[in-house]
Amino acid sequence: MLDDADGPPAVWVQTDDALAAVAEFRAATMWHGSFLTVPEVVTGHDGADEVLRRAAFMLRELPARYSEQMAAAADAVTQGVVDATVADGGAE
Amino acid sequence: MTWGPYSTAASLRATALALREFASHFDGRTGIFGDDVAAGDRFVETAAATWHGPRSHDDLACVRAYLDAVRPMVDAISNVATKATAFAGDADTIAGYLDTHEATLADARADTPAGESLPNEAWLAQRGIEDLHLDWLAACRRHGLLVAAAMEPLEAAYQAEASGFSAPVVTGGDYLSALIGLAASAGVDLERLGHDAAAVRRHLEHGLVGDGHALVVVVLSNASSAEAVAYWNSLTDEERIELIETRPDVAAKVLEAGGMLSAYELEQLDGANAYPVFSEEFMAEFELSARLRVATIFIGEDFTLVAMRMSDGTVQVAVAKGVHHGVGVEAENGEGEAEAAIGLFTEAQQVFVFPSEESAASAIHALEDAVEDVGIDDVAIDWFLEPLLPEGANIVNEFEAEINNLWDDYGMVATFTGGVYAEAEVEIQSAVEEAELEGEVHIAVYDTDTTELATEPARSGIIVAGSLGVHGEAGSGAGPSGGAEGVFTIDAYTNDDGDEFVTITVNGSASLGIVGEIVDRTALEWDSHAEAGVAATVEITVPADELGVGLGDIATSLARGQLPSTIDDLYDAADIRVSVDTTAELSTETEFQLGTVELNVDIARSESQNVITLHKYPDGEFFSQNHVDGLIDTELGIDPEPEPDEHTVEPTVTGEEDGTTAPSAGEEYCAALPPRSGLNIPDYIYDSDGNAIATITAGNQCVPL
Repeated sequence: MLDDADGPPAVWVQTDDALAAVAEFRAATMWHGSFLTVPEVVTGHDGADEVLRRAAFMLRELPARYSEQMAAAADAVTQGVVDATVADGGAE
Repeated sequence: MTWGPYSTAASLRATALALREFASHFDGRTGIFGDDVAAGDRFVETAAATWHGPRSHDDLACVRAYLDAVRPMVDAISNVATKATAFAGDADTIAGYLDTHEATLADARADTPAGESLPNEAWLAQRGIEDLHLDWLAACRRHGLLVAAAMEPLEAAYQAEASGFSAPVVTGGDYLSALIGLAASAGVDLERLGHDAAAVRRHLEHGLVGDGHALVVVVLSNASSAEAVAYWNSLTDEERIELIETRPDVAAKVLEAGGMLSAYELEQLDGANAYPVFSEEFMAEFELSARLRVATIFIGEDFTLVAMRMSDGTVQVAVAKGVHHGVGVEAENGEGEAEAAIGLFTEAQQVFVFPSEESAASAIHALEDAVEDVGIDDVAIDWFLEPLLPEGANIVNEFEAEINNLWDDYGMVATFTGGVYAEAEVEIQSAVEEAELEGEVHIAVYDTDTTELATEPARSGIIVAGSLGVHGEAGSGAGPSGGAEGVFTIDAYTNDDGDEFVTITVNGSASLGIVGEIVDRTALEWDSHAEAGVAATVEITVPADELGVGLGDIATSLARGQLPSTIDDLYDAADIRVSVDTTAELSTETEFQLGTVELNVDIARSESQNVITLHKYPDGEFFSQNHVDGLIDTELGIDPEPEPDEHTVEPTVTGEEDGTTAPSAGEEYCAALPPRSGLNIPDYIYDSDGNAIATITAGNQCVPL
C-alpha cells in the first residue's frame, strides 16, 4: 500500500484482488457473447416476421457487443491499476 | 381463393412451437445477460474496494454508468420472451378452431358423393376457416407491434452502442467519452509515479477506436490543461509530429497549457501553423506585359514575377508566363472607352522557395539582369516572333536558362493552367478624373507538379474564377485614387492521394491612395500609384462527396420549405480560413502604343501585413493562427514587436595601420544614400561582383553588411 502522509493517498492498490476481479469479470462476460442461435419464426405475415427477425438479431448482437466493451472497460481500468502498482514497485 | 401455407392447423401449431422456442432463447439470455451485469457489479465493487487514486472514482463511475445503461436490457429481453409466448398462445388457440373446421370439412367431403353439392355445415366450416385466417393475420399484426414495443429499449441500447463507437461524441458524456477521460487522466497518475505512461496509454487505448491518431486529437481537444500536458508527455515522437503536422491548433493547446516541445517540434509547429501559405509580407512584384492588337483580335503574352516573404522566414518567388488569344470589341468616344473580349489562355507558373531573403533577392536581381540584358522590346518581340525564328535564335534564352538553374536548387511547384476567359472593361474619362470598371471570368483546368520543397501535395483540377473591380483616380497630373475589388474562386481538385476536394475562396479588398500621370496620347502613357488598403479573404475547403451530399440535401430541403439538415455536417467537415490583411503598394504602369502593337510595362512593389488569420480544421473549432505564432515566438524567446535597433547589424570593418578604419562598401553606400521615405520595402544592395554589401530593413534603414 502506498500512503501519502501529506494528503489523500495518491494510489492505493491491492493488485491480486484487482487481478482476480478482472479475471472473474472476463470469464463471466467473454463467452456469453460468443455464440447464440435463435430459431427463425415464419408466421406468414410480413410485418410480424420482420419484427421477429429483428428481435433475433438484437439477441445475437447486443450481448456480444456489450460484453466485449465491458471486458475492454475492465481491461482499461485494471491495467491502469496494475501498471500504476508496478510503477510503484508492486506496493501491496 | 388461394390458401396460404400458414393457414392450416398443422402449420399454425408449428409456428406456435417455433415461437415458444424463440421465447425460451430470450428467457435463457435474460439469465445469462443478467449474469453479465452481476459480474460487472462485482467487478466494480471489488475494484472500488481495492483501488483508490485520483482517477479511480471517475473511472469506476464510467463502468457503473455503463452497467446502468445495460440493466434495462435484461428486462427488455425478458419482456420480448413474454410477448413471444403470448403470440404462441394465440397461434395454438386459432389452430384449435381450425382443427374443428378442417375435420368438419373433411368429413363432409368424404360423405358427399361425387358431383353433389356439399352440405351447409361444410360451407360454414369453410367460411370459418377463412375467418380464422383473417384472425391469424390480425393476431400477427397485433403481436408484431407488441414485440416491437418490447424491443424499444434494445433498439435504444443498440443505437447507443453503435453511435458511441462509430462517431464519438465527447460532450455527450457517453461510454466512449468516459474512456477517453480515463485515457487522459491515466497520464496524470502515471506521470506522478514516474511511470512509462506511453506504454500504459497505448494499452488503455487499444481497441477503443480504429484510428489511434483520431483518438489522440479527441483526447487532447477535450482534456484539461494538466491532462493535456500529461497526455502529450505520453505520446511517442512520431505521434507528436503527426499531431503537429495535421492539427497544429491542438498541439498549440499543449504549448499554451505549459507543455514542453523540443526545438525541432517547435520548428515543425511553426511551419505547420503557417501551412499551406501564410504570408506576412508581399515583398516585391515585377511585371512585364505585352499585347498585340490587330483590329478586334487580341494576342497577348505576359510575364510576372512575384516574391513573398513567408512567416517561417523563407521567401517564395513565383514566375509565370501567360498566353492569351481572343477576340473582342472596343468602343471609344471623348468621354471614355469600353472593351470586352473572350478567348483562350494558358499559363505556366513555377514557384521557388528560398531559405532567406538574401538568397531570394540575389536570384531576383539575376533575373532582372537577364531581362535588362535582353531588353524589354526584345522580350516582347521575341515572344511574338519566337515561332518564326530559327532554332537557337531565342532572344530570351538567357532568362530561361536562369530560371532553369534556379529550379534545380529552389524549385517547389510547377503548374500548367489552360482554359477560357471573358473580360470586360469600361473606362470613363473627364478632364479631372478617370474611373474604370473591370470584370472577368476564367474557367480552366490545371495540373501541378511538386518537389520535396513543396508544402502541399501535387494536384490537378478545374477552377472557376471571377473578379469585379472598380477604380477611380485623377484624370491627369497628381491626385487621389481609390478602388475596390471582389474576387471569387471555386477550385475542384484531386490530390495525389486520390482524394477529391472543393475549395471556395472569396476575397474583398478596398484601397485609397494618390496617383501621378503623364499622358502623351500619341505613343506613351505613364501612371504612378501609391495606395494602401485592406483585404479580407474567406477560404472554405470540403471533401467533394460531403459537399455533394450537403448540396443535395440543401436543395431538397429548400424545395420542401424545410431547413437543411446537413449544414452542421458540412460545417464540421470543412476546413475554413478567414484572414484580414492590410496592403500598401507603389506601382508604375507604362503603356507604349506603336501602331498596332501595345506594350505595357508594370512594375510594382507592395507590402501586406496580416492583421488576423482564423482557422478551423475539420471537426475542430476556430483558432487564431496569429495567437499560435505568438505562443511559438514566446517559447523561442522572440520579441513579437522587436525594436528597430534589434535588426541593425554591426558593420564589418577592417583595421588600418594608423588605427583608423576604412569604410566598407556598404557603409559608403549607406552614407551616400539620401534619407528614404515612402514604403518600407526590405531589399539587398549588391556590388558589381554580385556580393551583398548592404540591406534595407523593414524599418527603412540602410544597414551595411
